[in-house]
Amino acid sequence: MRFLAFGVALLVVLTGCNDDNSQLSGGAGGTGGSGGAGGSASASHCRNYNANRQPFFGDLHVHTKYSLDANTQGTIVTPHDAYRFAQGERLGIQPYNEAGEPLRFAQIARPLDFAAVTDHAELFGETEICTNPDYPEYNLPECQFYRSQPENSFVFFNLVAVGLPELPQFPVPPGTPIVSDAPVIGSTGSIPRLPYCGINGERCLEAAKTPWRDHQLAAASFNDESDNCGFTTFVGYEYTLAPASNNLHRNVIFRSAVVPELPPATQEYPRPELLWAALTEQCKSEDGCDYLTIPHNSNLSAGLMFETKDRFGDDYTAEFAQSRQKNEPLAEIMQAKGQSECLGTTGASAADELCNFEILPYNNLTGDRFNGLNTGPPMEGDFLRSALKEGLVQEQKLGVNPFKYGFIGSSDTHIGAPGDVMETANFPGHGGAGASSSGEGLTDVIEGNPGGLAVLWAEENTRDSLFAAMRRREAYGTSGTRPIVRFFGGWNLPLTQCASADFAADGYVNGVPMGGDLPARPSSAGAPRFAVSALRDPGAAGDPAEPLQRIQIIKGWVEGGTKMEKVYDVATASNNNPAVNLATCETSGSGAASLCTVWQDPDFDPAESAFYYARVVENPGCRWSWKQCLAGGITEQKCADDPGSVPEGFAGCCSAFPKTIQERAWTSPIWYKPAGSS
Amino acid sequence: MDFTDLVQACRKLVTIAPALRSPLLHFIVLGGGLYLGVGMWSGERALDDRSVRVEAHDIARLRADWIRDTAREPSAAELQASLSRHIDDEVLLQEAIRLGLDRRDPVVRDRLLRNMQFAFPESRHDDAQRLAEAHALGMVTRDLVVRRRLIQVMEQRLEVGIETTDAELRDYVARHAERYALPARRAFQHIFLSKDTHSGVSADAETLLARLKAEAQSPVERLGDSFLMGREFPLTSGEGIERIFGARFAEEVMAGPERDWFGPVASPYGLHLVRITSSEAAQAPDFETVRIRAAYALRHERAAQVRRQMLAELRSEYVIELPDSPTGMQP
Repeated sequence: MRFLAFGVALLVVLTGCNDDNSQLSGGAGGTGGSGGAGGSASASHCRNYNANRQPFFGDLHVHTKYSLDANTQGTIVTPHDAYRFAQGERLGIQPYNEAGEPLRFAQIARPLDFAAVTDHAELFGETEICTNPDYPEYNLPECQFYRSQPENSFVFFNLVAVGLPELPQFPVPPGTPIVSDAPVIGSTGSIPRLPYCGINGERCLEAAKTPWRDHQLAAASFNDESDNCGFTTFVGYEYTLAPASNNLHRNVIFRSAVVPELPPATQEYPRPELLWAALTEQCKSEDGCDYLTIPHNSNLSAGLMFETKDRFGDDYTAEFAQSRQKNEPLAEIMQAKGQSECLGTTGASAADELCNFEILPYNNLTGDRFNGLNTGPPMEGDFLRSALKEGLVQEQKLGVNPFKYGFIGSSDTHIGAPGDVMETANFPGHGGAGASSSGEGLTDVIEGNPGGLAVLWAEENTRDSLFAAMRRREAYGTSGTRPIVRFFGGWNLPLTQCASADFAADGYVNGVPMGGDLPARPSSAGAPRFAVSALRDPGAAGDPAEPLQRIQIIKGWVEGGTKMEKVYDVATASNNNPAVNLATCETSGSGAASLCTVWQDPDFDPAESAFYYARVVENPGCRWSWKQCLAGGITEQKCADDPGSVPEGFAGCCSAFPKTIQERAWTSPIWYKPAGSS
Repeated sequence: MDFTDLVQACRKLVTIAPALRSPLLHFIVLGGGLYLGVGMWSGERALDDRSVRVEAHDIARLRADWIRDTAREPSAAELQASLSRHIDDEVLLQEAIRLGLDRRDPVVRDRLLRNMQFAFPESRHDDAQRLAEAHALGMVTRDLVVRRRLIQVMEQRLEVGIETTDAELRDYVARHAERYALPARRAFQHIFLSKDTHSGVSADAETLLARLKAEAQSPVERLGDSFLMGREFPLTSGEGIERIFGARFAEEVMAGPERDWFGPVASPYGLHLVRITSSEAAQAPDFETVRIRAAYALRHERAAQVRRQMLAELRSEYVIELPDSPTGMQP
């Protein structure tokens, strides 16, 4: 008993004394940032650290077998498999043959830099052996420790699960709960593998077996903390609030390995503000924990995502708005269930023809399952451009902008295949709410798409550096491709910035990057300038991408209380003439390999709050659905001449649904606040 | 002892403790006995009842599922395999119920309660009553979420005795070099000529290259066009270079000569003249650095094998009953 208790004490001391996770991991090389919140200059850096920041591509919305209820096709992919896939390894997916071997395979041509598996927290449950008094282990020291120090027990259980290297002895500080009267043992100063986990560690392993723990284990398995910094994982989950199937889901992303014992979920916290309060309570920065939430699919929230009332039906207060802004710096502008930028069918954005892009024909998660019951046409207020404008209105009223969102994309894959987001014929379907993997037909509902990517401008590929980028919104989302986009705003950006030796350095020195706030306007300044530069996605074998067509800057502002928007074309590829051959999917049109411009707002009024974001649009190519139609032998000719012969699974091929797509990127906005406003 | 003795014993008992005569006490004892007795009998399988019954309609459903997923009929071997997996699931489910997990697991409880709330929104019963009703309705074996949860929880319980030795870890790391090894890296400078702004970009590139080779001190910073990602790259892997410049450029740079300017090398953006400033060869994985990650990953892989083994053992303790009419299927 005392031997056991000593071991527990050792771990208490270890976890208590060391806030540097790399030491606890037993030998991981020094990296940038596991100690401090901002990547201090004294921490050692990754091999390819870049003080001017570089783009990292990732997926922050991934479901595996632990998302039980979304898992209608028998996905057996685990978080471990999902992270392997993200790093470029091949993954077998359903269906399976008689020997249990997968009949389909998926693999991405270009690995991701980071990923987060985010299964639904509502189904995680808790570990039973230490919380159920019927179990004999309930009273063992490690279970007492677990119940009294839940925030340390993850580290404890997982170190033990794989065995510790020889450790030096540590004196036990007086007053340590449970075990402070245990003697120090051993004269060699070494501790063998701790025995109270059972002969083969099965007791501790059992405690480690809940889905939440498996998430953490998988994230720890694949987070590269050496100075190679090859890949970063984030522990995360999805908070699945959906009243009457109106989507209010949020993904919760944690910065480090220190996370709550059980992630707060909708059963106990049925409104976002309750979720944030719970996370604030359970994820404290002084313990090394930090989080942010990312709402997704506002396009499917039937008016709820950006309503300006709290759960009691009262208007937002400044405090409420502040909480929302602080906890949610980013929103998903693109994923498998459509885009949430702007609605192209009605309202102010109907004038922007590029808004007619990957729009779902319904306004919540019911979709077309019940013949139009419980759903309706999409609503403009659910889209981010409209929400950003409303945010300016709220800011004028309350002094704080509750809807100050940067943009990212992700996939929302339900088959554990993060980053499989290019428009190819081998898109396996995102699973979950999509179609099943049948042999004859499209692999997903036609209005679905492979999803998008999150791109973060950060100094290096570490959790701290990437998370800091998310916090300051230096991020952009893409619809699946990988163009590289920079966006800066300022009062004195040099008009020749595009020809400068270092575009980015000029931007940082003279202004703010995407996601930032324009500095206070000097009285002598005219209109703000915005510098935007984009390199096309170079593509890869199996991942062809189109050249750039144009860059636009979208401005939203409030004029005398009225919400306004305007789209400016600021850079266009010349002599382009883009075209797509629908019989072969060959594309033509030179497009531009890169575009760059410095633009000054010609309609600027210093008295009006505003935001500006850049949208970089590629030349058109075939959409995934049309590529699958062609691969299945369905052509335009066949649809016209012999529609009866088209199998039901390919019925969408002959519909009016778009056959081509113009992939794009959306930068996080830069905000302007008039001087003297509250 | 005979009936008379029994009556006498009863009389003695009753005279010893007059309280024992109380009808209320009898009522409580009898009622309690009935309550316990009913509790033990109704809806609960006896603790040693380990059997799985497969019906003809189960096999028909498995066939239909296969057709839905693959658009063709399953072969005899495929259908057998489907049945085998179905039986595995049923064994795990029955074992979970036998161990009482259906009553204790918080996810199952929550799901059953939500189902009951949805189906009977006006019910005024408390949680315990609703759960009993849910069990009586057979929801535990029929609700998809509950089934998957119980099967998953049981699967996890089967993962015991997974060990990884140092030797095995070293071997695992060596076999997964592509995951753990350090890639070759190159640092380089480049001068960029954009194809969008040079009409004769090839000629311009050749001219510039000749000049660079001739003049030792060319002001490199002022030559060529601006490139968004800069002119200098620190030690970067081939994959990192490919991300920005495409595959062809990355290949040429990783294979190019060191120190001298070479090119022109093509990228989707135009042509580049390149000078490698330093190189690093690929390195075998550093075991200590990747040890914990490899241990987690290997353990995860082993867990799958162990699970299969333990499941086979568990299954051997079950009686599998197939449909009465011959189907050609084996348990």
